[in-house]
Amino acid sequence: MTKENEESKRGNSFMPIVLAGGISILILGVAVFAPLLVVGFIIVLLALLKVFKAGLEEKYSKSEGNLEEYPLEKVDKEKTGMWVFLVSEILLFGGLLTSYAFIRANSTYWPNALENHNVVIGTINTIVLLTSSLAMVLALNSARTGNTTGTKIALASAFILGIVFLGIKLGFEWPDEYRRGFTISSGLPESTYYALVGIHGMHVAIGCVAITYLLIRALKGQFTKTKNTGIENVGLYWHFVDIVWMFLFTIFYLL
Amino acid sequence: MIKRFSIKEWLSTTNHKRIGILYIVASITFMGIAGVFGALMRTQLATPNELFLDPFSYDQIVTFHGLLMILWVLSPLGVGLANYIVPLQIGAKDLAFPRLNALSFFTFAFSGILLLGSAFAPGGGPDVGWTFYAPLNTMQFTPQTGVTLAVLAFALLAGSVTISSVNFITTILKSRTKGVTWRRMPIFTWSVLMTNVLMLFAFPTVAAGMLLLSFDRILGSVFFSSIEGGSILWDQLFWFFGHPEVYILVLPAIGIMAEVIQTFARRPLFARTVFLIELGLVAILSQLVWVHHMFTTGVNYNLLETFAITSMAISVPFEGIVIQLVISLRKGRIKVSTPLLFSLLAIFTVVLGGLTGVLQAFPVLDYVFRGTYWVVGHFHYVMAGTTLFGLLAGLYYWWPKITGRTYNERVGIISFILSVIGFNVLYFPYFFLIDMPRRVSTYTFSSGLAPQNFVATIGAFVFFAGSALAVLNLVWSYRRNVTSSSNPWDSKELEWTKNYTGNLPGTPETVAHSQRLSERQGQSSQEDDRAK
Repeated sequence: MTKENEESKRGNSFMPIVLAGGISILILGVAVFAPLLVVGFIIVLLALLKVFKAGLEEKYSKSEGNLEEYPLEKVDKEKTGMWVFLVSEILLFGGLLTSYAFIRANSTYWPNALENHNVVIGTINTIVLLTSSLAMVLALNSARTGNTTGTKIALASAFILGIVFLGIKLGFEWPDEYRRGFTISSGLPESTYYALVGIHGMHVAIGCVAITYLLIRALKGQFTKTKNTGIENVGLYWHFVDIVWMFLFTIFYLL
Repeated sequence: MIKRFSIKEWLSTTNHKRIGILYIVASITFMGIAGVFGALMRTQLATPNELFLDPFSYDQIVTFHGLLMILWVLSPLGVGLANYIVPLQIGAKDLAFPRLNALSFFTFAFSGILLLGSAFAPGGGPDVGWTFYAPLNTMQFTPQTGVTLAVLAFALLAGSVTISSVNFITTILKSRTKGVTWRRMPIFTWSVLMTNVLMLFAFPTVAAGMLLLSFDRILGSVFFSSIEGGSILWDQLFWFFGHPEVYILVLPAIGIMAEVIQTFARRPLFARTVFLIELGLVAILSQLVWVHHMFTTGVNYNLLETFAITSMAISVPFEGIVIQLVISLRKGRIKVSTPLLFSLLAIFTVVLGGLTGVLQAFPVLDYVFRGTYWVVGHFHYVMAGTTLFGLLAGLYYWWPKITGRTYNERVGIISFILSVIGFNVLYFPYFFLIDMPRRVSTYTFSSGLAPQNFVATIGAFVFFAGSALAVLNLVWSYRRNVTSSSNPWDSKELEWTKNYTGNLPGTPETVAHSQRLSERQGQSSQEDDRAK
């Protein structure tokens, strides 16, 4: 009994309930009472910090071994989980992009992309995000070849480029468009633009948080030749976000 | 199992067994609430021109009953059982990501609390039905905050389900112990795998819909208030999730029924591989039938034809499943007990629910049935029938495993009898209410709908009593200190025997395996008897 008790206690954590509670308070803030937004945000942030800290102290768990893994013998479980998660992300953005196509096919009039959007800024942003993806690949490569300085520099630049992308979007592009009367409530071209690009932006922001975590680990020297799955998994997500942007760039700035 | 109860430990747990129990307890709590809502609805509908509930309250109760029963009761009850049983069946220490498992439970629980809390939001709760049809869901027609909160609670639930399905799929892919190959994996685990694949495909789409709707309601975008997007866009996004959701509910129940029948008939499932192929076909086809919810919206003719065909096609593998479950009982040495009785009831209801469903796959008939109590009868036969009884069977079946207690068989059978009578008296009259529209709080005396409704209400209370008794029986058995043996049903399945490696190195002795063996021995001994 005591053995089972100890076993069940191992790995106990209050963070799931705190994180879930924080998200719920955040939702209450969005829907009912705005000040709760701040409270929820702080709780989520603190919970994430705690999770990060726990992650920093954690040793890499060895594979349990003696498993039946056909056909995924060569893929570890974190990476499998990430790929499965990306399937759900594909469906999320699939739903959004299909909604866009549905609306646009139903509309009798749709403005030319060049009328409303600055294609030059869009291109710059595309380059920024693609370069950020490149930096993630370089980070993984440096980690695999044992170049710890390279890993740190590459992760830092991936993070900075992600922030630059968001900065250009939120700091420059959206205010400019709002000033010209291109607001979320003025019509379907506007609604689709802000909703889809906004949801993508949230994904970029989440990616930046994850890269921060990787960066802290890298600064502590936790990535070595053999232990670098974290970079690879966040990288998968980051490249996915990048690919989504390729679609969004095409439909909003070119078509 | 009995330890000092520590609430701190339960709230911080990441153990799959404990989270499974938490899921089961939470979903049964929600079931109690949603069941009371159902009873209130039937009370309102018992007599014509009833003023027991005003239309606004009635609409809210309809909404809560539907949302809770589908997304916060039946679906998580299956997830809870899967949480407990699947790692045991595949010999894993825990799920692949235990802390994410805890996160998905708590987001699920809090999203349910948020949904119920939306009843107290300024302006009243959601009164849009579980489908949130556009443009009723826009600010113009439902300005109350409750709808916004319900939409966000739904989105949070979608997040929770996505996390848990990632967890389950990864676990089943990566954490099977040596010997549990794909062919030897128990049927319940197979059904859970398929359920989670469906969840992974279905929930993100509705999350996209809910996000767009919340932008509409909070930031003022115009997706669902415009003509170009509007109601058809919502229908597409919602039913792309909504139809697979029906199968998400029913597949774990089918898996449980198969496990229960092969245990209590003491005979392996008839043509196990074919059964699994049929489950797979159901899973694939269920992704391809969603437009049959939209036959009357004026979708184009080719879609109508295509989706009528796929909707009829999905009944073929389902018939196979039912026939195999029944054939498996043949020549079995059947031991009658509560889990088996509930499984048989579930088979009966899936036959009736399925037959009435096929009729609706014909667009011509769908034009007549759309939005009437016929449809309500049909999906309650599948959901409240097959799914609920299947899951109850699972709960009874694994109760000794989970708690180490035996329940009272006699009370179990009484609850079964009450459920059979109550369920059928409640829902069968619905097939004679083709003239009565859904979601309307009352009807006139001259409509001639009064007798059926009155009978249904009586059935509702009997059914309520039956299912409450079924749950209470389990709770009572937990209070009383009757310990059961580690394998009371004498099952050959892996979660009971834990015989992952079997007799030969690397081969688990599964039901299909060992029972076929023992049957052969039995046959040969019979032959010996004859020879003597």
